[in-house]
Amino acid sequence: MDEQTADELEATTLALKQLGLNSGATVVGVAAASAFNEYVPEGHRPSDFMPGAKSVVVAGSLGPSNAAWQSPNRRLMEITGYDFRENVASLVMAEHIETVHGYQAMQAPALPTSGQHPPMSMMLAAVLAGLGTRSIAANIILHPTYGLLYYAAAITTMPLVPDHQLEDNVCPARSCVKMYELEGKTPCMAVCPADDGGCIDATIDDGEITSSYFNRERCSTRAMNFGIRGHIKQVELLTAADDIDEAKAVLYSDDFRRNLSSVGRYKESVAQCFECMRVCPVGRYRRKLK
Amino acid sequence: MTEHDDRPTARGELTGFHVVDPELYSEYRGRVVRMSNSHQVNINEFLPDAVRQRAMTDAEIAAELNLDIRDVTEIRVVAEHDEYPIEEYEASARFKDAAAESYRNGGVKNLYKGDPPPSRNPAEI
Repeated sequence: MDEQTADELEATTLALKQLGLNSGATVVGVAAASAFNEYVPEGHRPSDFMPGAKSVVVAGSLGPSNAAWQSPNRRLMEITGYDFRENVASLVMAEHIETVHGYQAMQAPALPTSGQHPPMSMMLAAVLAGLGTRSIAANIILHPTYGLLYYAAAITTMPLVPDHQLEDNVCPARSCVKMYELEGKTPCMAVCPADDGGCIDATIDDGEITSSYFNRERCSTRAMNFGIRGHIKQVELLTAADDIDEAKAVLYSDDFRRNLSSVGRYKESVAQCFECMRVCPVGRYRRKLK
Repeated sequence: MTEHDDRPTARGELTGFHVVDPELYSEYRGRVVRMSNSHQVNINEFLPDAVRQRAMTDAEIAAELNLDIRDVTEIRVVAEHDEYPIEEYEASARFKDAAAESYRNGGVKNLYKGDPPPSRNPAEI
């Protein structure tokens, strides 16, 4: 492994990003592995999974097509709202780093390993790689052009040129600030208000977020409406059933089957609620098609 | 304390998996939920350092509450499931039906706001 000049390093970084884009990512950014240290405790940093990690390459992809957002049947997005392109792109980039450049590289651990907790935050990775900023809407990372994206990452010992974090917060959009000034809520806060059966709250002053609140557990009942959690709830019902007929009513129900389907196909088990994002103006103009 | 307290069953380790003692869970559930990531307050990276917060890890909570980390993990995970009853899942489905329908009928200017409707049957709303 030869030492690279600054120009060579820049060119290598750009080539790697292009590979990620060619492999299905919509956007690719790079964060310095050490940048995580300011935001997350020990145990959740890239170097905790790969001693000597230098860079984190982050891939983002769109998920639903633009037309899917406009479907009159919200269940379409419940089962098609998530795909794995960003995971494929991050794995392709990791393999490329190992086979072509001879550095260690691996997919960052993003799926939960204990309850709702993932070992590493892909949302933070996206922020640090300059791909977006955290929004009022469920703390989702908004890309300035595309809005909601799904993120995966590769950790590597390879030095790359890191991107800078965005200088301006993508959220709140100007139209949201205007609505907040008139009604005390942005569109996402209005559709899913924490103080009225929903998940989101925030304050805005002079166009900037000054406080934020997100109820992850209520959001889980919506965004992961069917899946592991719903299945556990139905098993709880079954244990309290008085007789076989009552048990069969649960076991053979449409919702029981739907829960098992989502458990069996991870693609269906997440991203089942888009209501705060459906009303978010960031990236919405891109969805206007013929 | 009994002379058998060192048995796996005394630690709640039934069938090879660790489970939390219900009394311990009841005593610490509220505190663990507040210290963990279930309710995320001011975690936005753009907030000033004095305002920005982060949740504590299970290890940090265990140190703070002087508990075994495995008990903290179990209390947290059980509490994540316990936060809302099954009725909330059904209400969530009704909420999404109503929100998607209102958006389809009138876009952002026709936002569905607030609690889920009490029924999936429009005639009962």
